[in-house]
Parts: sequence; structure tokens; C-alpha cells
Amino acid sequence: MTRRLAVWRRWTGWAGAAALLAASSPAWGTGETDTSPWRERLALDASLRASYWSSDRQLSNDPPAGAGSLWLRMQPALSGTLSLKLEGWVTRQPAVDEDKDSQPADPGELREAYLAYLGEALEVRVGRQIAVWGRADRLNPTDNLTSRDARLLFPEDDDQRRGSGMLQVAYPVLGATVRAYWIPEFRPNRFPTPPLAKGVRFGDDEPVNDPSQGALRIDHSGGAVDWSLSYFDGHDRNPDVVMDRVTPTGTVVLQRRYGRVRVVGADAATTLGRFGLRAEAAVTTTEDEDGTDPEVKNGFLYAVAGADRTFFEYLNVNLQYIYRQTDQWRDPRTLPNPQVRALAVQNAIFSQQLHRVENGASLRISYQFLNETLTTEIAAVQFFQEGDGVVAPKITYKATDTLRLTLGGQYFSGPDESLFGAQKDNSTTYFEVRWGY
Amino acid sequence: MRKYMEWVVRLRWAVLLGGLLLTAFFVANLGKLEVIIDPDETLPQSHPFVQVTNRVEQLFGNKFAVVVGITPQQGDVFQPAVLEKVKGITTNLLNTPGVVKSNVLSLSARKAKDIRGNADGLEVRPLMDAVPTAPEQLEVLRRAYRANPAYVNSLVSKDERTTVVLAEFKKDPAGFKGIQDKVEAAVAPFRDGAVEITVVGQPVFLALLEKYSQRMAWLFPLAVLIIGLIHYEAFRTLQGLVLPLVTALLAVIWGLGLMSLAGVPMDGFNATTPILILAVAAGHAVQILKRYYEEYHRVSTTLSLPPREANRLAVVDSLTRIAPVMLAAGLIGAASFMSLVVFEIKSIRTFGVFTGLGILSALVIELTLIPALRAMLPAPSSRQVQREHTESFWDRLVLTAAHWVLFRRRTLVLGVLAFTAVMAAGVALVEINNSTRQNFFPGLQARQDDHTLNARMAGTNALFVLVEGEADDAIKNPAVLRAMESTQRLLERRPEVGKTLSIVDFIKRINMAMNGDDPAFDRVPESQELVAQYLFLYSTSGEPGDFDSYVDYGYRNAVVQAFLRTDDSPTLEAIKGEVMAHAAQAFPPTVRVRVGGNSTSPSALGEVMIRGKVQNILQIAGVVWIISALLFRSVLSGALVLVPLAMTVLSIYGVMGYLDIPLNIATATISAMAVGLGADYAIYLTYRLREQVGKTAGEAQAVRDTMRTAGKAALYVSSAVAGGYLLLIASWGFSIHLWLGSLTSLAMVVSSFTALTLYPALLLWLRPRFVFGRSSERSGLAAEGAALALLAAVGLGGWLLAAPAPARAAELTPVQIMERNFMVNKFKDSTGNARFRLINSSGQERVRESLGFSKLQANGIDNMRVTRFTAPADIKGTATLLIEHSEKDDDIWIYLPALKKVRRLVASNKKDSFVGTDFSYGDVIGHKVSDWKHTLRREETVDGQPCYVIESMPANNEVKANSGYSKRVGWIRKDNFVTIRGEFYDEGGALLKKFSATDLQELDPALKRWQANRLEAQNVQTGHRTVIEFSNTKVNQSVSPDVFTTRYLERER
Repeated sequence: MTRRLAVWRRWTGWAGAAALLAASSPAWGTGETDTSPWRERLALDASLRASYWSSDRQLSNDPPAGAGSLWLRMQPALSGTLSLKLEGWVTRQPAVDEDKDSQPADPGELREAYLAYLGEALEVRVGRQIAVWGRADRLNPTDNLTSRDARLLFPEDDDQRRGSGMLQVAYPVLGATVRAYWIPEFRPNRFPTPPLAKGVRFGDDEPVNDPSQGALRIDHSGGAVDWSLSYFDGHDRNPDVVMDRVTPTGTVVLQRRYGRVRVVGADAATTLGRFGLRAEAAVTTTEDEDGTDPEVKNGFLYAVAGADRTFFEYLNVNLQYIYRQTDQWRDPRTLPNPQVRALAVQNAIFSQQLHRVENGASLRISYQFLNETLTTEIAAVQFFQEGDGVVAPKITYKATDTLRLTLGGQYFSGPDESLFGAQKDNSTTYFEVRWGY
Repeated sequence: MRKYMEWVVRLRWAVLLGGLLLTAFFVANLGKLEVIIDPDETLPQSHPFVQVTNRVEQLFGNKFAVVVGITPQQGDVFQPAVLEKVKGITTNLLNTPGVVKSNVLSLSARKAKDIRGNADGLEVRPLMDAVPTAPEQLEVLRRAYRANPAYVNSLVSKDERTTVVLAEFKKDPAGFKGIQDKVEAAVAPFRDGAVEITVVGQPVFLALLEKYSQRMAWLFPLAVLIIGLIHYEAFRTLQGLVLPLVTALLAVIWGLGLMSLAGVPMDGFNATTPILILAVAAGHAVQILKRYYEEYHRVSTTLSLPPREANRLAVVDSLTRIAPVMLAAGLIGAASFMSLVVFEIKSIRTFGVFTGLGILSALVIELTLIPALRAMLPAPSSRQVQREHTESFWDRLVLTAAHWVLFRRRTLVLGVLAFTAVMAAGVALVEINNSTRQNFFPGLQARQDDHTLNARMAGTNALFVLVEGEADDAIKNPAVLRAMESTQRLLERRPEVGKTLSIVDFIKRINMAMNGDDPAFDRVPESQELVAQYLFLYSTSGEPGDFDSYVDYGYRNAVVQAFLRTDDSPTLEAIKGEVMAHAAQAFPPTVRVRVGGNSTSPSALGEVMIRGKVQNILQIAGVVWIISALLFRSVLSGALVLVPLAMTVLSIYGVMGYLDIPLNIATATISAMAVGLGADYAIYLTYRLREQVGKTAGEAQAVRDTMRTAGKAALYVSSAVAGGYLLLIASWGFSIHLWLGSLTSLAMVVSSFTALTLYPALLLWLRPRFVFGRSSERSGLAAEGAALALLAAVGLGGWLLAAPAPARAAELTPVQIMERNFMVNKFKDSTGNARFRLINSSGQERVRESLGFSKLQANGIDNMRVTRFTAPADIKGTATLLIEHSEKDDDIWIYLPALKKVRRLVASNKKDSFVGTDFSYGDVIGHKVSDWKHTLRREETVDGQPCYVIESMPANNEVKANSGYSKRVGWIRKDNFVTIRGEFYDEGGALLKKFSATDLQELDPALKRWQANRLEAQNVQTGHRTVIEFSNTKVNQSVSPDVFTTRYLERER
């Protein structure tokens, strides 16, 4: 019954979209002759991407891998106020080792498929969408609505994003925009599974019985300061790993569990002379309110604040301070039960709760040459407690308007028992040729 | 309509009750109506004069300056009795709340210092510590005063018969009257027969303005009463007296109530707008009342109905016939005025909204409350009906008009043409002048005091030359000081300037004092070190605030104060021009020089407001034409309806020109009013003539019947409004009321006269189908041709009005050329596509396409721009929002589809490349004219077009660094001020870029705004070049402000 309800909810959005589509008066179907090319009418764009990676992103010791993908996107206007957005890809990626992971790599993804009504003031979007929140640079504590698949071999982090089915309504009120979301489809973040001890494997994820989620954001842009206040009530996109069972053959089966969270967030951005200032913070409460359940991550505060400045027209330097504080923190390494302790420590590493307070910094420096056709960038994040970090240099050259070459890498460092240190096996150098968008 | 009117009559009690409740609701909401009376709020903040005035106020505290003049009946001012009064008044003013203590200046003020050299160096002490009594002490004071030239003719007159106490006040919550009362309280104890004490200055006149404006409180009701009485004379019934006035007053109340509910604030400039609403509403009411009496007469004489039923039937019949006409005329009027909401100037928007709502309210009231009320009132007695129907003086007037229209048409048209020519000649004489003094009669005591003190002293109007340096101590630079001094000398050469003061006067005095008062040292010291040392020396014996009025704390900014004997707008403009031209040559590029001051505010206000008013007249006329043309389905009808309207406006401006009535805010409003009224008369006449042509056998009879009905009603209203407003002439001393009364009356007379004579004559001559049907003798083609001719004539009139007395291009200064150049591509709003071709030195080409929107902000200078890239695919959907701020950094946001979010960006340096092109942000936004020094190098012909070749050098290093250019050279077309060729030199002086603009298109002919559809820039140092091609550009599309929000950026389409 619950599953049927979930399925019903998942498809409600699409049914609504279909109804809206039927009610609209699109240019096609009216018998009018539209002389514009069909591709322009559909606003169709495609992109073909081929890349080489010195290592995959599955924490494996597999040999260098190649990846290819075809991306398509279209955004036809159905009428003056109605439009459709479709975007997706099919890809050839290294296979996931199904012996250790129950989450196979998807051969294709419909990232976004939604119908939008964009009135003078009211905006309604229904269908699968990617919703991105937060004004900080790339590290966004308030960004909890939609998910990513971190295993995908795409050079751009944002290409790893995945949409969720939702209804989004936006309306301007007193100079701000109020956005309300109903998200009946839950899709978790996907991460590489670390090497597991012999006799340990991941089973199916714990079913999410009530995927329905809601969010509200009041967003103001303009004037001296841009700011927003937000609230999200839904499921944690990042799992807690729990032990599901031990099979009769003695295999320990782990399970990913996605508990309910409530996130209250705020962000702000302004400029001060030549400096751009940004800050973003979120307080997350989890199902483990008193911090006693070692299998569930504790509530936490996550804040990012920083500034950027552009020198000599094109040299942009962006520096941010990162602060995380765990509520009701207790050192997982002191837990008496060794089995519980082992899982709790891994969970704490993954959710950055190994220490009560974790401090870090991010730095991004970019420069553009040749009339903005050659872009170089180096981004780095470092946490101070464990000393782990990641450095990601990248050079992109737009040879023509359709041909783009990218050379880059991602290099992790730190102790094994740290967020980035645990991903050292994912350190990689890549090269991508992209034709299209 | 008939069913609706029957419904209203049937449910008259409910309708009346509902209307009254609605009125009560609007009255209750009137309290919430925000009224802006602060002159600062309505000043055009973007105007350079206002910006400088604000900056000076911020730096030096100057605000509203009051001058107290003290002249003894006998002898000079150096006598104990006079000096005691100076000291007393100074002390009282210092203790007055709201005064800027540091800026109080008089012989006894601590700030007035005697600077002299002695053996130890420099001695600085108050000019008058205590009031001297002994003759030798008085002589010492006299010598000290004379030894300090800064005070000669500013504190004491040249003949030493008059001295002044200068005080500056901050804004007072009680208005200017509050300031005046405080000054009077400080001065009153010292008034006696021995001295003449006068108080003058801008606040005195502004207080008078406040006081006289309040006369409207009794003049307005009296005017309303007279209008009512004239209506009574016309109709000879109580209904004739009361009902049109009830309609008009309720329309004003509803209009105000709706404004309050809509959150539209009222401002001081709209204080006279109720007059317009009153006139328009009364116009409709009288037409309806007139028709009602006709219908009642018809019903009562043809049907045997009891009076009550006959009354109700007459109400229904009259409105059934005339309501569509009223709706048509009223909606045209309301739409015309409402169209003013697209204007950037707030008070014009308010004017449009208020008048539009007032007219709409009048329509609703005339369709609900008034018929309901009339259905309840007793039927007119047979005597009343008969009296209204018998031939009267009014009938004779309109029948005379009918006779001329029918039988002396040619003479009539020729006479009108001659009149038009005479008036058009008068238009050329109109002078724009917003002097505050001109608003009052010359014989008024305040003006005489002002005149007397101005004649005796340096002048009571302040003009500031603001000198802004790049860093602290910039003012100590001898080159800057010498330039300030030469500016002072330049100003003093003008007869209107009585005195100038600046820090230079004190530095020169110190220099002389330090050199044994040797006149050879009455000059600016040679080195900055010496200047600094002198000032340091001064500070050891002077007081910290002594120079606060002249230079700021860090010696970064200074002001040259000029005392003027006039606030005449053209004179101020001329002085500004001279000063700026001189400054461009005299000052080093490290400082920026601007002109402002309180006396310049009316000039700034006048310039912006009057331009707006004139534009709004043209806009209203345009809307009237379009809607009339649609309504009658004839281009000709639209043009014909404009005739009375154009004649009225022409007459007003012509009379103003001949009688030396200045074009200012008050008089500009009257012409807008005339436009609103002129169309109504014509529309009522048109409908009635059409009705009568269909009903009567002969055309002549149709004309006579029309004249006796709709024509007579128009005459009633115009006579009543003219009579009512002629009363304003009684407001003695106040020119604004005199102008308002006389010109409104003139507008009424001319508009009704034209509507009753020229308009029907043209109808009979052109015989348009919308009146005479298909039997029209003349072909439609001829009529349309005539319409075009009329349009051309109206357009010519509009052109005359839009440019009352523009300076011819040949007389323009380089700055004026650049100012026009700066504005030439500023559209109210625009949409269009752009194609960017980026081509590198080896010929490789990249193409970016975008869809752009722009909208000018309220200040008329800064734009809001949205650029959404539509190709190539990799940047498709990327959108930027740029909100320009000429006085601070721009706000920029970018939406990147890949990131799915909007990011706020730091404002780019103006020299940064605009999205990778060879154009900089500064090139795209436009280089601020005042940031550059412009020189006309030569005149040249480029591509067959005569051009000015203007060389622009950065005014200072900051401008140079920000723009990235050490020089710009522009070839600016003389006919339209578009730059069609340009050269840009890098900071090192080498040629950096070449620029060309082709395929020019005039997108907004009304405002003479152009766009070059093809721009090309080539970086000669790298060989890279950019071509931008614009297409599908549309302007004045009323682009929604919502487009310029980050929410819109996220739409990705």
C-alpha cells in the first residue's frame, strides 16, 4: 500500500504536467505554420563528450578508464507563458562492482523534465527539476533539495547533479521571492563505496516509506545585500550506514539509511568595493535529537563565509572559511561495542562528525586568457582537524564555439580516516573533448 | 445601457447607499494618503546641480541660508548700538535650534577672525571679541575688518552702511515657515527705529510659498462656489448648481481615496490637480444634465406621465443616449492621463494616476450615484423646464457660432489661422525660468527687502563651485589654489556675482600677514609646504572649525562660495557653463570641479520637470489621437479631435510668451490640463452632430441643434470653470495663482471657442464618414489626406513646444555636445537581439547571440540591462542583470545554467572587457560626461556626415585608471549626436582601439534617440576585433520592471 502511495505520488507531478500541457494552447497543434526550423522551435541542443581518466571514481584500483556521453536538452516554448524543459544524458561509464555495491551506475539519466508556467509574477514548475540553493561558492550548506552522483566521470561537478520530481511555486512578495516546494520523489546522493572487508557487502537501501518532502525559501536579490532564509523538511541525501543483517553464510550485509532531517538555513551576499562577500549557514536536526544513537548522524551547524576579488580584470581569487559543529557530539572512537564503533567511525568520517568542531578553508583561483577562450582554475579545500584536503586544477580551452577541451585533475590527501583522505584512491587526471554545449 | 439605467433607477436607494458607503470608505482612507511636501524629495536627484548641492551639504553643512541685514538710519555700522545688535542677533541665532552653529557668521561670530602677522609669526584672533565702545576701539575694529578682504562686502557692505549676520539652517520639521519664525524670534528684540533689519534668503521665499499656497484652502471652495453659481445662471435650477459640483467633488475624493489605496503618494506639485479633475468631471456632469433637461422636456410634452415617472424616464433616456459618449470621452481622457505612468518623474506619474483615477471616478459616479439621486429628486417644475428651454444669452452665443460655422467658414478658418500664427510667434518668446522670486509680485515686501539687501551687499543666493581632490591635502596644492582663485575672479566679473569666498582668501591673507602685510604677498604661496605650514600656524591660534565652511577636514575637498543677486535659471546655466569651461583649463587633472548650490535647485527642478511636462502633453495628445481614431474608426477623427487641444496649448504658450510669463512647473501644469479638457468638448459635439444629422432634414438645422445642446453645455462648463478660476487673480502678491487663474480661464475660453467654431467648421469642410456617413461628398482619401496634413500641423506645434528655445547645435559647447551624445542612446526601455562576432588576429571567428532588455531608471541616466545569451549552446541560457549606478558601483548578477543559480558579482572596473569583447563595460554603459574634459578639435565630414571631432581627456587619474583610457577621440554627427567613429588611447598614451558605428536608426523620434545597429571595435595592439550587430530593436515597449530581477534570470528563456 505504502509503495503504491509512493508510486502514485511520484507520478502525480507528471500527471499534473500533462494536464497543464493539455490545458495550454501551444503553437503546435493549432494548424499554424511555423516557419522556424524545428530545432529552433524545440530549442534543442546536443553535446557529445569523450574523456579519459587516469582513475575511476569508485575507490578502486582499476586501470585508467574512458568515458563517453551524449547530452541532449530542449526547452520549447509552448505558449507565451508555458514552456517545457527536458535535459538528460546517456553515458558509457566504468561498471560498478556489484559485488560490493547495490547501486549500479545508471546508463542514462533524465536530469530535468518539467513544465513551467512563467507568468508575470507567478511561476510554477512541475516535474523533475534540479533545485540549487545557496550563495556560498560551491560549498552550500543549504543545498539539500536534489542529489548528485559523485561516481560519474564528468569534469564539471555540477554535471553530476540529478533532478527530483517536484512542484515548485514561486511568487514575489514585498521585493523578495517566496518559493515553495513539494518534493514527492526522493533520490539520494550516490558515492563510491570504499573497499570492504571480506565477507562484508552492501545490501539494498532501507526503503524510504514517506518520500514526501517540502521546502520553503524566501529569497531577496537587489539593493545592497542579497539574502535568503530557507527551510527544508525531508530526507537526508547522505546516508547513515547501518548493519542490516548477517546472512546464514556469514556475510555481513550493510544498509544505507536516509533519515528525516529538518534544515533551517540562511545566506547572504554583497559587495564591498572590489570584494564580493558571501556567507551561508544551515542548522540541521536529525532523527537523533539527543545524540545517543550511534547509527544516526547528529544534528549539526554548517557554515561557510568568504570573499572574492578580481585582480587585473581576469584573476579571480575566492577564499572561504568552513565551519562545522556537531550537536550533542560524542567521540565515536570511544564507543564500547567494537562493531558499532567501527560503523560509527566510518559514518562520522563521511558526515564530518569525527570532531565536535571541524574547521576548514576553500580557495579557488581562476584566470582567463585570449578573450575568455582559455580558462585556468585551481580549486582547493582543506580541513584543519585531520589535515585532509583536495586540490583540483583545470584548464579549459574553447577552440571554437562548439569544441571545448578540458585537462584537469582531482588530488586527495590526508589520513585514511578522514573525509578526503579516504578518497585518495579517487585521485585522477583527466582529459575531455566536448563537442556541443 | 438602457437596462442598466433602468436597474439603477429601480434600485436607486441601494445604489445611493452603496455610493455613499464607498465615498465614506474613500474618505476614511484619505488619512493614509502619503503626502510628500519635502522639496528634496521631489528634486531630481540625478541632476548635476542637485548632486553637487547635496555633496556640498554633506561636506560643509550648507543648507538653507538666511541673511539678516542691519542698516543704521544714520552713520555706518561701526557704532556701539549697531554692533550690540549684531552681537545680540548672532548670540540668539547660535542658540536657535536647527541652526548650523559652525556656519553662523557675523562681525561678532567667533569664526570671523582677524589674521595678522607679528614678531612671533601669525596672530589670529576674533574680529570682535567684545563690542567696542571707545572711538579708538571702534577704529581698531574698522581697520581689522578692512585688513581682511574676505569679509569686505560679505560681512559689511562696501559703503560700510550695512552689515549682515549669516546663518544656515537644517531642514525644519515645521517647514520653511518654521525657519522663518525662528529667525524672526531671534531678530525681533533688536528691531527699533534706529536700524532697519531685513531678513532675506531662500527660506524666506519658500516660507512665503508655503503661506500663499495655503490660500488655496479658501480660494478653491470660492472657485467651486462661483462655478456652481454660473451653472445656476445657465440652468436656473438648484440641480444645475449642485449636481455637477457634487460629481466633481466626489470624483476628487474618490480619486484621492483610490490613490491612497493604491499606495501612490501625493506630492506638492499636484496640489492644483483637483482643479483639473473638477473641470473634467463638471464637464461631463453638465453635458448629462443638459441632456436630462432636454429629455424631460420631450417626455413631459409628448407623454402623459405623472411628473415622478416622467422624471425617471428622462433619467433613463438621457443617460441611455449620452452615457456611451461620456464613457468614450471619459475613457479617452483617463487613458491619456494614465499613460503618463510610463514617465520616470514621480510627480508626473502621480499627476497621471491621480487625474486618470479622478476621471474614472467621475464616470462611475455619473453612472451610479447621480442618476440614482436624480431619480429621487422631485421632477423639475414646468417653469424650470421652460426656462431652460427658452432662448437665452447662451443660446445667442452658440447660435452665432453656428452661423459662422455654416456661412462664414472661410473667414473663420482664416481668422483662426492668423490667430495661430500670432500665437506660434509668441511661443518662441517663452522663457523657461524657475526662479523662486518670480513666483511673487515685485512689490512684495520680501522681494523689496531681497532687492535692497542684494543691492547693498554681495547677494543672497549661494552658488557653489565644488573642488574635489583625489586624496587628502589635494587642496593645499598651489596649482589648485591658484585655479580656485582664478575661478573666483572669473565669477566676480559677472554683474550678478557680488562676492566670492574660499579658503584661498584666507591663505592669501595669512601669506600677506606673514610678510609684514606687504601687498606683494597677497597671493597664493609658491609651494605646498608653505601652504601647509601657514595652515599649521593658523591652527595654533585659530579654532578648529574656522575653515569648515570652505574646506573639509582632510583638505581633500573645498568649495568656492559665490554670492549672487539672482536665482534666474538661464543666468545660472550661463555661469555654470563659464565656470566649467574655465575649470577645464585652469585646474590640474587631479581634481574634479562641479557647480551647484541651493539657488541652483529650482533651475535643476525646472529643467527636469518642464521637459517632462512638455513631453507628457505630447504623450497625452498621442493617446487621445489613437483612441479617438479607434473609437470613430477613422484616422481623421483622431486628428480633428486634437485640433481644439492643440489650439488651446498654442494659445497658452503664445500668451505666456507675449506677457513674459515664464514656463515653470505651475504654468506647465495648466497646459496639460487644457489638453485633457479640449478633447471632451470635441467628442460630445461629434456624437451629437452625428445624432442630429441622422435625425434632421437639413444640415444647418443639425448644426444649430448640436450647438444648442452639446455646444451650449460645453459653453456652460468652460464659462463656469473660467469664471471660477479667474477668482485666483485675487490672490494678491502670488504670481502662481495669478498665472493659474488667468491661464486656466484662457484655456477654457480657447478650448470651448475652438470646439464650437473651428472644429465643426472642419467637420463640415471635410465631411468625414464618421459624422456624415457614406453620403459624404468628399472622398475618404481626401479626408485622410487632410488628416495627415492636420497631423503634420499638430506635430509641428508639438515640435515647437518640445523645443521652446533650444540652443542651436552651432552654439553648443563641447560639454553640451557630449551630454547630448551621452543621452542619444538612452531609451526609456528597449528589447532586441544582438550578435557578437569576436574575431582574432588570424581571422578565427566566434559568434555569440543574445536577447537584451533595457530600461532607464528614474534618474534618466542609469539603465537596467538584462542580457540573455541564446547562442552558442555552451553559454545558452546564461543571463546577466546589470543595474547601473552612476554615483557608485553597479550591481551585477549572473545566472549560469550549469550552476542553476544566480551569483552576485563584484562590479567590474569600467575598463574590463564586456563579455570577452573589445568593448569595455565603460564603452557599453557610456562614459560619464563630467568625468572627462572635452575639447572640440575640429569639424570633419565622415561618410558624408558633418561631425564634431571631440577630444576627451580624463578629468583626473581615477577616471583614467577606471576607464583604462588616457584619451578618447570621438567623431560625433552634428545632426543627431551619435558617435560614428572613435579612437581610444591606453593609459600609456598609445592608440589602443578604433571604433566605428554604422547603420544608424532613429528609434525614438519624439526624444531623438538613436541606435547604431552595427558597432565595430578593433584592438589595434592585439588585432582582435569585435562586431556587434543589433536587430529587432524595439523601444518604449513598457518593458516590465519584473524583467530586471534575478528571478527573471533563472527562467532560462
